[in-house]
Amino acid sequence: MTAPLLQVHELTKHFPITGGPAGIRTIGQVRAVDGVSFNLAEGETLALVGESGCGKSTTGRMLLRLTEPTTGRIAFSGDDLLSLGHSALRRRRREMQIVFQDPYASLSPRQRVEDIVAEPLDVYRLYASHGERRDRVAELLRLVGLDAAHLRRYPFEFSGGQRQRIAIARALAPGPKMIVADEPVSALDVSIRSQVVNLLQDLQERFGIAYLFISHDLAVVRHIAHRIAVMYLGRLVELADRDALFDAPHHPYTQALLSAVPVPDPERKRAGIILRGDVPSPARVPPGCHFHPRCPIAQDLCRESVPPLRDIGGRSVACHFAAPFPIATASTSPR
Amino acid sequence: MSEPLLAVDDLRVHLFTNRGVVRAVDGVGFALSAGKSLGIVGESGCGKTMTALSLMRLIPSPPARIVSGRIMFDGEDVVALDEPRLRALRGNAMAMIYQDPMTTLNPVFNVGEQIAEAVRLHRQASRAAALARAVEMLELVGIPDPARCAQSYPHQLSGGMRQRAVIAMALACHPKLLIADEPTTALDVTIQAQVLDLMRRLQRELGTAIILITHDLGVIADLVDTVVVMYAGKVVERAPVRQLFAVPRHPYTQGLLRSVPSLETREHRMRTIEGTVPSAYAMPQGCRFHPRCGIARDVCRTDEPPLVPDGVGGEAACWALV
Repeated sequence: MTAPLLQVHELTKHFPITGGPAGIRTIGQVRAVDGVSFNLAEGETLALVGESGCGKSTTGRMLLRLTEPTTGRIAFSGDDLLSLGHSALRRRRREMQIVFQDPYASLSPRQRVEDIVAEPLDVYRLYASHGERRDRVAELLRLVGLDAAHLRRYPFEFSGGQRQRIAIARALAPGPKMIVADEPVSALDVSIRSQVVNLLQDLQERFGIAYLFISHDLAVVRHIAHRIAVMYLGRLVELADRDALFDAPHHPYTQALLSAVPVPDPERKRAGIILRGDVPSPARVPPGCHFHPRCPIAQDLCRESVPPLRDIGGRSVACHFAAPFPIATASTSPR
Repeated sequence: MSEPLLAVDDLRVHLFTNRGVVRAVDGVGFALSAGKSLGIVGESGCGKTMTALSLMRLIPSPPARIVSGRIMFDGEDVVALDEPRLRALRGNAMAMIYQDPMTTLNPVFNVGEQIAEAVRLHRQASRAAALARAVEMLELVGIPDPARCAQSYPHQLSGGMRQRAVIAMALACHPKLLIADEPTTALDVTIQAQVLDLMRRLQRELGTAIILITHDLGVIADLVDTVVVMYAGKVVERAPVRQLFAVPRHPYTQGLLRSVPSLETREHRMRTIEGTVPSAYAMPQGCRFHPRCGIARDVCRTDEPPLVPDGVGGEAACWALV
C-alpha cells in the first residue's frame, strides 16, 4: 500500500486567552483542537463532523497552515508541511485548496468571475498568454456547470448555488490533489445543495481529488463521504467507514448525534436519545473524557482518565465503554 | 366544525422597490384550529417569513404592504386593526420567536426583566409578581436554576439556553398562537433536538397553536399536523403531514422531498431539482414552477394553476392534477 496523501498526527491548536491589567498576559487557553490524528488517501473523501466549536474548521484550516498549529505533525505527499518555509509552502499549496461555507463572503464583489477563477493561475503562472488564461477559465466554468459566457460578470449577478460553483472552479484551477471543503453546502437551499454535492462527487471521480469535507449535516455526509471522523470538543471520538458508522455507531456521542437528526418522515419514531445540557466551552474543558458531563453512560473512570482512540473491529473509538448501537435500523418503521 | 383560531384568506403582500413591485406573498390562504400546529415550508425567498410577519402585521413597511386579503384571528381581522389594538395583541394572544435569539434579546437587560416586561405590558402585575412569573416561565422551558438564569444577561447564556429564554418570553402571556420562524436553524443538532422536544411538550401542556416556518423538512415531519408548501410567493400544496410525506402531489413537493437526503439512503447521487428559483423581479408566466418542472405542458406556461382539493383533506396547485 502506498503512503496516504495526507497524514495528520497529534495536531493541536491552543488559542491563548489574554487578560491582566495590560491585557497582554496569557490567563488561559482555548483548546480548540486537542490531539487529532487521521489520514486521507488520494481520491478519498473524509468527512469531519461535529457541532459548532468542536474544532473541525480549525483542523481544516491547519491543514493548509491558514492557522498555524500549536503542536503536531502534518505530512502531505511525504513532505513535513510544518517545517516548510514561506516560498516552499506556497508552492505546496498549489496542491491543496479550500472552499468556504459562505459564497457571499469568499468571492470579492469587485472582481469579475474571470479574475476570481484565474487568481490561482496568476499566482502560479499557469498560462502563457491572455488567450490561454481566458480559455482555461472558460473550461473551468464549464466543468462546474456554469455558462462560459458569464466570464465578465460580477458575483452579485449569481445566485448562492452559482457562487459556490465559482468558488469550486477557483479551487480547481491550479489542479489540486486535495480540497478542504468547509461546510460548502450549508448556506444553500435544499434543492441547490444536492446539485453542488453531486458536482463535488463528479469532480472527484474525474480528477481523483481528495476531500476533507467539514460538515455538521450528517445526511449530506452520508452521501459524499467514504470515511467519517466525529469530533467533540477538540478531540476525535470516532473514526469509521461510512456504513459502519451509520449502521452501528459505537461512541455515545455519535449515537446521540445520529439520533438527533430530524428525519423527514412523520411515520418514524422520534429522536431516541436527547442529550442533557450544552457543549462545554473549549476554554474550560472537563477533565477525563470531554464528553462525560453529557454522557448517558459515564462512570467514575470517565471523569478521571482520557479514553484513547482504540481500534474496535476496524474502527477507532475513544470511549472506555464503547459498544455498538444499531440506531438506523432499530427505529425504521415499515413503509 | 368549529371556527378556526386563524384563517388566512387570499393574502397578498407586495414589496414596492425601486426596481419594481415584488409579489412576495401572492394569494396565500390557510386555516389553523386552536391547539393545532401548521408548518410552512419552502426555500429562501418563497415568502414564508413575509407570510409569518404579516400575521402580526410586522412586515417592514415600506417597502412591504399588505395589498389585499384577510387574516381572521380569534374573531377579528388583523389586516384592519389599528395600532393600539395590534399592540394589545402582539406578545399577548399571539407571540413570535425568531431564528436568532441573540437579536431578539436585549443585551443590556437581564433575561428576567425582559420576560417581566412582556408580562407587565399585558397584565396587571406588580414588578415582583412579574419577575416571579418570569422565573416560573424559565422553569417551564426546562432551564436549570431558573432564578439564576433570570438574573443573567443574554451573553452569559448558550445558544440553546437563549432560545429557551425567548420561548419563555413568548409564552409568558399564554398566547393562543405561537409563530416560530426557523426557531432551531441557528442551533446545533443535539440542542435542536432539545428545543423541538420542548416545543412539543409545551404545545401539549399549554394547548398553544403553533405555526412553524422552516426550510427543514425533518423538523416539519417532527412537529406539525398540517404542512403548507410555498414556492415563489404561492402555496403549491397543503396537506396533513403524513399524507404530504407519503403521497406528495405537487412536482415541487416531490422534488423537495427527493432532494432531502436521509440517513438511510444509499443512492450514489443525490436527487436534485434542476435550475434555480426565479428572480423576484422576473416571475415566469403561468405556473411559477414550470421552468424547473419535469412534466410542464403548454398550459403551465400560460395559465396559473388553481389549488385543487384532492378529496382527502389536502390541495395542490398543478395543472397535472386538474
